[in-house]
Amino acid sequence: MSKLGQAKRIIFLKTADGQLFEVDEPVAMEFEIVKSFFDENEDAADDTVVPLPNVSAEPLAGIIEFCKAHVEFRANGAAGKDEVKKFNAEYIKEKSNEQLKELILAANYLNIKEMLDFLTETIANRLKNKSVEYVRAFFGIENDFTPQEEEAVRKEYEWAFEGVDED
Amino acid sequence: MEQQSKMDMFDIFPEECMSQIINLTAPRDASRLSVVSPAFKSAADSDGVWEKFLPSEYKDIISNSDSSSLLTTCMSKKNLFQHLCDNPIIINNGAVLNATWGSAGDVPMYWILPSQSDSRFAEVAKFGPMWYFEVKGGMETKLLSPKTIYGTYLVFKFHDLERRILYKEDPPVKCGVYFEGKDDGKRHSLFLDPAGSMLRRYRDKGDGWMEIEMGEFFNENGHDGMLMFTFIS
Repeated sequence: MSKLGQAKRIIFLKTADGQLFEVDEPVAMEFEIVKSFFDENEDAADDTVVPLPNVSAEPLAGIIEFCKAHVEFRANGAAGKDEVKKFNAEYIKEKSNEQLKELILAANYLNIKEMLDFLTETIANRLKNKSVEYVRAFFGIENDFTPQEEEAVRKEYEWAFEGVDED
Repeated sequence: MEQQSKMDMFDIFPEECMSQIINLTAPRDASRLSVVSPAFKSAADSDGVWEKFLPSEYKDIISNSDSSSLLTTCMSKKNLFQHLCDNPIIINNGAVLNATWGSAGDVPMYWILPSQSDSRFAEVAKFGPMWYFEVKGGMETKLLSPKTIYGTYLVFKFHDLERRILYKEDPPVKCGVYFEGKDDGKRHSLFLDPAGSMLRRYRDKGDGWMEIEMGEFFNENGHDGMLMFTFIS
């Protein structure tokens, strides 16, 4: 923990692709996995590098950006206000579906509840009223129904297929 | 590398994330998602997902209705949801809706309240040959589920086909839905005949009874008092 007058503590994180990130402590503690690492290793030296073998650099950079902003919002008492919504909307606007999936996998591994809630909601909104084919492409899923099985399920939910968006 | 990550996507995509995503869509989306793949189907059919689509107090609603309470125990939540869509339940045995069936000068003789009808509702008003009528009614919003969007429908039937033909040439009827004391005066125009222009708001139940959407409203917490509707030719 940082003491008054001392420099802020920095946490070192190493990604699967070997990149080293230096993150302010309050931001790194948003990651449940990092927090429990230090809870379990109370004696860990200040320059301990926490390995993150399931996360690569690109999504981690995105996650740090998100958590940093949200830590600041909370510190400023802005949590739940319009500027948070505005930030979230801007943050997600530029993200491709592929990036979004990488972010959610990484956020799930790092166990960041607030960000996970936000990402699942974003993905749900992107899947609303979309065709089955769109969803398969979105998740990169091979359809392993037999044509007969698929036909049977489609028939059962015929009403759900009216008026879906064009892909 | 790209191919690899795609192939593994569903295997590594955490099931609780998947369920949460499906939860945040709508019943129509969840039904469609079950066609994506068998793994999606099992996530999209789960009780956890469909229980969230049901009103939060659905067990109370069913036990206060004349529908069997077995519904809540013997069916998957998805089947229950679909059952309730096809077989609407009358809450509190229908004793929640107050309607006055008025007409020009409030002459009640133009409305007959038949003691028996093939409607699912306890009270039905039969409208005689008249050129003007007005229906007003309301119900307590606290009887409804909180944080839910409701549609308000007029359920009706033509008891003689000539009337129906007459309605074709009639001007549309005006209807409105509002909270008591907060009437903004907005009214929608509806044609009772399905050949009218409001096709999207119209549903034929297949047994002669038809439904027209009069309007919708959001029930925040049930603290908005009486929900009112009016229907004027």
